[in-house]
Amino acid sequence: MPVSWPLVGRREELEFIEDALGRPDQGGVVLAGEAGVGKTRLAREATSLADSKGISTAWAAATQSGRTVPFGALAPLLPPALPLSFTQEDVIRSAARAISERFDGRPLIAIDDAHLLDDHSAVLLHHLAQTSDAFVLAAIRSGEPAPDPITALWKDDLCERLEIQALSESDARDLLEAALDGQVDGGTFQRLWAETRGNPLYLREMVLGGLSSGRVVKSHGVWRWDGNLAQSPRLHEMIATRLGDRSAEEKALLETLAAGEPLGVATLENISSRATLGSLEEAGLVIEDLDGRRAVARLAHPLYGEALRAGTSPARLRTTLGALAEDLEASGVRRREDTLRLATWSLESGRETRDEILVAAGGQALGLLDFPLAERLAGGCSDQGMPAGFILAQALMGQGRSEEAESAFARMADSTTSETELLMVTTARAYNLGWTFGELDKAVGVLDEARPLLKDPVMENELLAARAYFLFSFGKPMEAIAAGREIIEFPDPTPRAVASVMGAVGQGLQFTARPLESMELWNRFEAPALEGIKSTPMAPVGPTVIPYWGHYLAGRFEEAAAVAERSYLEALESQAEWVSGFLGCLVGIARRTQGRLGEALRYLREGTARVRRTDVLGQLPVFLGELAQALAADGDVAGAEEALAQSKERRGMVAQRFIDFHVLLGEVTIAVAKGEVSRARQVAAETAEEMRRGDGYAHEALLLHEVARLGDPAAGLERLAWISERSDGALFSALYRNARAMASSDAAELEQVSRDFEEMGALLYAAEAAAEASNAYRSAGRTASAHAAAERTRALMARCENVERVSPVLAAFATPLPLTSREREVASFAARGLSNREIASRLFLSPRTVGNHLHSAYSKLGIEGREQLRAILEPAESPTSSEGTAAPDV
Amino acid sequence: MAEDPRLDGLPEAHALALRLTEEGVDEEGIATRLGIPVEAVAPLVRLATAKASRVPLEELDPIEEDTS
Repeated sequence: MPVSWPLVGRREELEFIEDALGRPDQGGVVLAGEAGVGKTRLAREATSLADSKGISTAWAAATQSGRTVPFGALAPLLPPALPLSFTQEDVIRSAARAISERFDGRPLIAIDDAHLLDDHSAVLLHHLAQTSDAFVLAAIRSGEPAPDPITALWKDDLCERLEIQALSESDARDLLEAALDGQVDGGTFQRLWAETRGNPLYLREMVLGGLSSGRVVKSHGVWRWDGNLAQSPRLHEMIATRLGDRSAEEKALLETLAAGEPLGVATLENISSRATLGSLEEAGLVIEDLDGRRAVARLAHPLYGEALRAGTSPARLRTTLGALAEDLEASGVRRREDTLRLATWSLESGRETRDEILVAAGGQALGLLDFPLAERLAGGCSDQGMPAGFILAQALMGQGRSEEAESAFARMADSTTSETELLMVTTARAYNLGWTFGELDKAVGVLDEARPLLKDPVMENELLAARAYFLFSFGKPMEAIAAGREIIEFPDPTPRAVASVMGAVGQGLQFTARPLESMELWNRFEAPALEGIKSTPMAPVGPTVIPYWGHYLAGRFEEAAAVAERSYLEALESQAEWVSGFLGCLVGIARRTQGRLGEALRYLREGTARVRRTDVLGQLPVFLGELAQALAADGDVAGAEEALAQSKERRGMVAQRFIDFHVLLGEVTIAVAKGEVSRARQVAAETAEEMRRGDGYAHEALLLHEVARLGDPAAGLERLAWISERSDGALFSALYRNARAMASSDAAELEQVSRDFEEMGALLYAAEAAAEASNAYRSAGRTASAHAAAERTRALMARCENVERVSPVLAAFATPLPLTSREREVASFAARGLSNREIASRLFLSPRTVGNHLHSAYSKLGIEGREQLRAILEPAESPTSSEGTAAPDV
Repeated sequence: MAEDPRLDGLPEAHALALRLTEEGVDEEGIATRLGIPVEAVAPLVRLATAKASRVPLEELDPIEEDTS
């Protein structure tokens, strides 16, 4: 694809140059910066800007080869022959005069790579700046020696020297998304950022290389980098130039650093010499730093390492890594990271390593969520029994390779030698079976089979805790809460038992509409719970899930989003992309609820794209259902239907009842967006009933509230009252009061509920309640109050994005029509070109009834056909009105 | 000194230059820390100030803003 790279993040630099250009006493500006930082591009833009202001401009570039030719770089600006002169001053004055005569007014003369200028050109430029005969715009590379007259430009105060820095993180992201013309996956950006550090040329070369090799791909609307980052040959050449011709000793040292940086200076001095290290440091290729009290050296830019590694033969790399491993083992494994380094260097160099080192390193890799590395390390052990086999099985599970993991777990089950080992293997295996295969019976069966073998009550308690978690996971939260409460009161439960109970009771309480109680429990047991999930695939999302849903279900949506967003940003640093995907989706869900649709879509698109690749916790159907809701609200009904279909397809893989909530809410929202409000109501009511059967009161209440806001507030009042009564937190009470006030047209209560929703940040619900209040006031003849409530509705709607598409109440508010909800529903379909028969089939009515509704609608609107109907409905072509939400008199 | 969240959105050298200026470090000190000629310090600080004043408030993390 053709990619154009706009100038991003240089507005202030351009203004700086423009300001200097406007001052007649200013000789010019010197742009200094490292290779690829964008000096040339900035100088080009500034030159164009001057052109557009009617200033004469000239462009020249100095080169290494032209350096020996007098006026080599500026020759194109000079006449073929200069008047005969006897001193260099005369020559320069003649050349300057020739330039002055060539242009009208004071020209801007831009010189690229001015540090490579020949002496004559350099002196001429200095003269032009000094006499203000021209405005000099010179680009030089930092750290390179420049001719004295060029250095004197800023030393003598003739020009200002402006250091051009790499782009900031946000500018680099903007540049990338502008160039690719689309959203870029957060993890992909983080990897590119880590490699390029905002250097636009490096970024450009990497992305162009990735596009041409097919590694940069657009998947589900989001650009991402597939596989390892690899540089393009062009970038290698560019960096090879930067690395220059180095001595064999310097090259060997650079290669060693590329293989194992950062390395202790002492290690490098064993391999090379202090002088070699010093010369590389002087050349800006290596930097020295302090790691605690130890002096370490690293390459000055990450890309140097990539380029050096790409240019090193595999055999040479193996030799280097083998030597590093020898050195490390000889000097002693002292730091925690030394184990991992020794193991990986040994593996990669083919050097024999003790199982003990590989197991220790494999455990560390699991803790760092680098599952492929953990697999390699554990797989490299000569003994595949405990503990190497267990690390391997978990590493496979972490990569979503659950069938292979199950085989590994099954093998381990027979080779455990203690109750602790048996418990570890059994619970991990049950998680794999339950979560990934969705087979509760098998998972619980594995646990029940192991229970009689555990004689230690602490171990048994831990196993029962895991069992309780499965009960919750598969839709039995009340049973899970009861079982979990007993377990947690056991004296000194193990961290793993606490972690399982947190899953069972903590989430169970949330699902049964007790979010605040769940958070109290979490606050009490957070530390042991986190300890209990350490080194498991749950570890990265565990700290977020309960606080997130606790806040969310208590109606504290901003806090929920903030909790997930913080974890998301941390997770982007991690290798496991499903983690940031998972957490990003949580942010998206909260943002959608808040009415911040643009942000919601961004997070959900990126998150689902990441979780699609590895769905360790089986939550993809949830996130796709949420994405469907956001897409429908954004008007992309086709996209929403596709996401919903994919969500339903995967739903069968995980037997969690509550996943249906998110999936079917997607169906409800799509139906609303398509104008099929009756069907939406029906799906919401049926799903609410399903939730009730599984004790999922929180979800039941949310769905019954959907039924209410879609036009039938009385239907779920009794259940909403019951749930509100048993719940804690502000949300469930507000849902009930809203439905009750809608059912009784209680305008004052609707206004109050609207304010409560607004305080929670649920702006869609707040706007709807305000619109309902306006209608109720109008029906009661209180016109002034109706006006005030309508004004408030408009203000709330303005703070949301496109919410009227999925809100019949707000759609009716935006296009007030004197129709009943049924008439509006029928009219909406007719305006879209459906025949009476087609409408009848969609709404389960007879064609005659459809005809009657349509006739009545025409009569009320004073029109005669579908064309006119379309003209009226088009501005708010969206869902139909509900009864009791007729046009406000404003 | 309280951290200014605006600095988080700037390139590292710009943020550092502003922090050092705020701390009262002189131009020579800043030049040494940033590895640039002393004559380049004043333009860099001017540029960094212009960039910092352009970071829109809505881009700032509200949580950090509250706690800063």
